[in-house]
Amino acid sequence: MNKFLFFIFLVIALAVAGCTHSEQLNSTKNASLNLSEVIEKEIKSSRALMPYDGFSYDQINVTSNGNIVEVRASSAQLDGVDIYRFIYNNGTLILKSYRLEALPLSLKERAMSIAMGDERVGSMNPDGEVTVVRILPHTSSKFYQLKELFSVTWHGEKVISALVDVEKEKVVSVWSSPSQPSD
Amino acid sequence: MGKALKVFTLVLLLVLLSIAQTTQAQVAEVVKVQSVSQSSGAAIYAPNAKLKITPAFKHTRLQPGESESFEIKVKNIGDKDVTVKPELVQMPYAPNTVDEDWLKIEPEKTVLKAKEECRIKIEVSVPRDAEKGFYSAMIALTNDTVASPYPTPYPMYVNKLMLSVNVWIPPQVVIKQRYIHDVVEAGKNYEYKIIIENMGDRGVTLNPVLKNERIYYDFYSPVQLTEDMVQIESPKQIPPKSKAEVKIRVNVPADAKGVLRGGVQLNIDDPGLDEWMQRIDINLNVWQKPTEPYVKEVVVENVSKLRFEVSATSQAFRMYRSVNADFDVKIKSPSGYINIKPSKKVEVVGVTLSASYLPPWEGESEGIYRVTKTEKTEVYIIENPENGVWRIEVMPKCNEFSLKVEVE
Repeated sequence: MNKFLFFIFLVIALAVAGCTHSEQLNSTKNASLNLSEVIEKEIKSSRALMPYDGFSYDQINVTSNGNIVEVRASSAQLDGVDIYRFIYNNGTLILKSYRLEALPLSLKERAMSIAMGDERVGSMNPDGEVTVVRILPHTSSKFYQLKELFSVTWHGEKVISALVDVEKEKVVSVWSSPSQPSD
Repeated sequence: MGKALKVFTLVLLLVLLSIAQTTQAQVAEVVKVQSVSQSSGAAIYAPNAKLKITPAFKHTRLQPGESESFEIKVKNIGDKDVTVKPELVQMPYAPNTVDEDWLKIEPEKTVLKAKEECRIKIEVSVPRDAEKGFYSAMIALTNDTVASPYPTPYPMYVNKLMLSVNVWIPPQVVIKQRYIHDVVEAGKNYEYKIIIENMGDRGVTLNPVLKNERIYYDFYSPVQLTEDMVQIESPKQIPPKSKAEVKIRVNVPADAKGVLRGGVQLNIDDPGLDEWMQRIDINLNVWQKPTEPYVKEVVVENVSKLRFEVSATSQAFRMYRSVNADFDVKIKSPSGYINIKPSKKVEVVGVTLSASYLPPWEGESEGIYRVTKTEKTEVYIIENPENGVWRIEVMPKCNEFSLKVEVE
């Protein structure tokens, strides 16, 4: 009988433990939602956003979902939109991912021109839609140096990309997708 | 009865155990997502790291004479005391390096007991005479380096903070639009206006000229704009707190095709504007507009339904948004043109979130929407069509479309 009572106690204890996990997650989510205005204010006033050299954003749109904050920023002088995704954790904004396409067309052209002048890129016969995005120094440091670089990518049958150091006018790395992308 | 109750309790126990495991799995997944931030400047755990440093990378943008303070969290993750003494390490091969007098670090030295945490305040001050550009540095918090059996060009510190400073000078001149992108027709003339605003207290000079950069190799075989195609009208100077207008007129040759490309260098004497920032890029896509619509005829005899489906897909690459995926449709019955609206309109946008087919250096855009294609379809249905010859005319506004005719 004692064993049976112990079983019942164990069942109740496990059920309570499960409920506690759920409540903790939900309370974190609600607290994050209430912080959305604070986060927006902090993003607009801080140096969290990094527009391309010499430019500033005209439009900044901040949306949040739980502790994930997405920022879309653009400038009338630049072609494209910069997108940042942050995690807001204990009052700190941590950059989780980004895609920075807001660049002057002249710079995009220069980056493309350098990429296309590279023998390795030319031999791959790149085709399809081409994009030029800015790569922040902390990402670049994994492939080259701690400096801002530009990724020129062709999205054709094969995806072909060149990592370009515009300042030194050279391609520092080349990448090709291992197989054809599916639609 | 007692035995049945015990069996029921055992089953209930198994169910609850599986629920509890599922809950734990969800929690583990959340933790896993957060750990991705390591690659974007949060904590980095090196193989023999003694410290957890958050953030481990800091990038900032400052003007000459400006300063910024920030804090890093440092935690001793080992079991022994660690002496933390931040030292500036000059980065080899870096284009510009941060000098020691740019940094003020507090405290200069501290001892962290096992599992203890502290905050280090770092103030970056850019001297007034610093030149524009990117500066980088490494701040080693301990002397520990990665052990290597081979000689390395410089010590590879384990417990470190990477610092990147973009020193910039705000331009006093604002160029409202730095590029001209248009779809043009051969044999026609176009005028584009560039507004330049001098927001400073001194006048600036300008001397716009047509400047073509060398094209190494281009799949799109652009044609360079030459001086006989482009005329530039501009003032020689812009007084303080005023605007000027530069007019660029382009005469598109009658035999032009493909892409016309060129640039106008404004030559403004503003130290905040790099040479490339003063360049107006011109990209003109010569649209070979068809003079007649595409025509398809179909003979109809005692059918219940006639169906036309027209579809166009945008294959234009983003930089030179040539034309939209669009078209105009007219339908003619045996008795004449009919006024008909599409029964169905379909717009397809291909979107991806995956980084599977992106180069590794674009991997940090995972989770952000990217449009890969756009498609427009219009369906026209005629119930109980009149017997005779039906005709559909499609005038495309893009380079490719498809037409499907169905008779039931």
